[in-house]
Amino acid sequence: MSRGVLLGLPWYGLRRSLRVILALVSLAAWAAAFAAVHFSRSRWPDGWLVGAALLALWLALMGLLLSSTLLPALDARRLCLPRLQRVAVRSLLLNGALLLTLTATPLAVFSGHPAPVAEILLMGLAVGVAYGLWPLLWMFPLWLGIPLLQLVASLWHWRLISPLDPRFIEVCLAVVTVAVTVSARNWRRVLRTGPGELKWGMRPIILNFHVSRHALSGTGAALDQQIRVARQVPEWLLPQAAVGEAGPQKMPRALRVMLGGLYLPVTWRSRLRRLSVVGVIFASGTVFLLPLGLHAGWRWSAVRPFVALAFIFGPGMAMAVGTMARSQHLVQRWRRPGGELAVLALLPGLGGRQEQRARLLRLLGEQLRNWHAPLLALAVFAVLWLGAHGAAIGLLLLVLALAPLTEQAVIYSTLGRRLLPAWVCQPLLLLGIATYVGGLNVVALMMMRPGLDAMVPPLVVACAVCYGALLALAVRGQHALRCQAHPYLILE
Amino acid sequence: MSEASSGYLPLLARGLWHSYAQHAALRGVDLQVPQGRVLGLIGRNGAGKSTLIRALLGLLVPNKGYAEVLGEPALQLTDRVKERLAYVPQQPEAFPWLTAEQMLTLLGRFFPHWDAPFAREMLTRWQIPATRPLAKCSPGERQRVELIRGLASRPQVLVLDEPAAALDPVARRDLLREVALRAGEAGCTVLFSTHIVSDLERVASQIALLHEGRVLLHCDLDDTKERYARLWLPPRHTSAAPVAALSRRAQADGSMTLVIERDSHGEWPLAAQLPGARLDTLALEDLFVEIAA
Repeated sequence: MSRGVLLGLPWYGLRRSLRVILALVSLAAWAAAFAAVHFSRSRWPDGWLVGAALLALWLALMGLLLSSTLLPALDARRLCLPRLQRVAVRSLLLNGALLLTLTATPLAVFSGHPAPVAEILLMGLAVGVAYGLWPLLWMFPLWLGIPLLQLVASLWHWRLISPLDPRFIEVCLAVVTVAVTVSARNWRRVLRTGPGELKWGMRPIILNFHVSRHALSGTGAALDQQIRVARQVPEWLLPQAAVGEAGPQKMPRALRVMLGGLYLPVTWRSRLRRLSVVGVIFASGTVFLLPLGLHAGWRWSAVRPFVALAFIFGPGMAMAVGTMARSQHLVQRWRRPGGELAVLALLPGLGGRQEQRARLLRLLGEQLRNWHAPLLALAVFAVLWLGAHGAAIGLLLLVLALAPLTEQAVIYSTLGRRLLPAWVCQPLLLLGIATYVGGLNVVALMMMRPGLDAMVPPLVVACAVCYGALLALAVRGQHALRCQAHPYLILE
Repeated sequence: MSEASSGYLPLLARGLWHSYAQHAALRGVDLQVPQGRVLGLIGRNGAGKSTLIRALLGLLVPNKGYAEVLGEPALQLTDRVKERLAYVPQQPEAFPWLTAEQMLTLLGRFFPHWDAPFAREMLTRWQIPATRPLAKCSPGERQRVELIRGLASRPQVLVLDEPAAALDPVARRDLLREVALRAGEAGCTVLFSTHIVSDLERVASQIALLHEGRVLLHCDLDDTKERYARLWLPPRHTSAAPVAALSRRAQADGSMTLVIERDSHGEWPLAAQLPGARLDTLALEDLFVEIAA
């Protein structure tokens, strides 16, 4: 087997767009890490540690992607090709070793702390691989486990060992040993059982990531996978529709049932289940804050920044996730020739062309408002309560409004069958994500440290560019929709 | 006023053209389905059957051409027509979040002639778990649920896109019997696409053969044996092969085989009378293979 194949194996499965995004993320992580290390020499003594942590996070991401070598190994197992199976393992090890060496060497030399840097990076990579091979269902206890561990540590007054401490290598070795053991066990378990026989919750995260990555495209392959996943998910986890009296007399409800996804009205039991998931996330956040409170002796001034972070990023992320989920769902529905669209197009009682269009737009608009408005209000009132000044509130509003605007633009361009080509959409999406995440970060920083107003103008410019593009997209889609025979035409 | 007396056809396509990216799926398709007939649309995979059906029903906008359902433009159907029309797609994927019972109840509320007892009876007869989410049903079960949906609305025009693809032989027989019954007793007009010739022979009264986006053949099923034949020409007469052949294939020995059609006077082309030429009647499956292979 050539070295090229060994080196390329984990990356073959990645889509081109994902590779571009990965390259940009890598570039940003490296630049930020080396900038931090550079500043550690003059005015920021802990900068090298931040740089090492950043690259450890980046290596964890690469480790997660490296764990996708499990896929060719599975294929090899199915096809009875033991040599290829060994190649997959070798490829994982070789790529891991190379990534670690190429990252650790320059950073270690540049920072002047070779041993701790290498240890931190090794931990990042090992944890990343282990996370990729971790069963999906165990991910939730893992997420809860970390803050719980932190809470216990805080209650028992454990202190994190500094990376400069000679005992740090013991911590590192312990973490790496656990990660490697977990990876090896999961790798073997999946290979022995086979992915088809694995229950939904026991599939490694990387296999589920592979499915959801395809699901974004809305293609036939994606649908097959979606259906396969839906079959594997236990029935009690599927949303239970509350059809009730939905019909021509209760048209908005009927349309919501027919659109499905986040639009679907669900039973109380399903709603409680959804709320319990939100509750778990909220609880883990609270548990995460508790040790900080304990550590700070429950002083409000110490806890306030974390509360601000929670109220900025919580609603912000919920808005972003809502936009993504509904947009993806809508595009997929409008791409499925055998799906709901054909039923809706030929369903009597929906009215004429204009009525159908108005009804659908009204419903989608209502759903958009019902999701985004309370979250936006929560974020704004929370930062007001926390004493944010005008610039921070303005920027927060400007940034958060990107989420509903994006959703509205997607609605118009999907219904009007005027989706952007990938080469325009992807850079725009990248700019949007960078502006959104960057904007929320800057607002959070402004809440903690005054005097950061200089960071506002570039973000306002970026927001203006996004607003302009989204507006153009929405107008273009709206115009096309107006000229269209009916809104339920398939996207080709 | 019935469709027959009003003079318009249940399904009509005029010069339909459609292409996906660089590939032309339909190339000027003309098709008419008269009242009460069962038209079997036959063609190989990728011949354009599903695209034609979607264009006929106004589910996609063709690049060129025009389609009508019960006298109304396909892209602007009113409730009057939608109430009398049912369509079952090739791979039913609609509403995976609903159970079969929920889906049928919900959709039934929109159709004035909905036959709820029939829907319940069919669910039982076809042993479909009524309370299981459709996402958990097999492709065959989902196809059956869609067929029940299509039939329970008591349509006057029923369009089925490869309805038997995921069905077992028993369910296939049931379906074909139901289609024949609807057409025979209720005067329902049926268009169904398939590449299973035996299904066609069982229920279709007319066939249309779609090949590479063109309708090459459209006639009554009983006429196919009379109207079309395979002509074999020896090498010395290949230059006399008729231009208007449905297919032509040069053989390794220099001879040629063609599928030919009788002219408007009921006569075979003159080449059929050449010395050494041989004319073979063809069964439907052979005719399909000769033209589409």
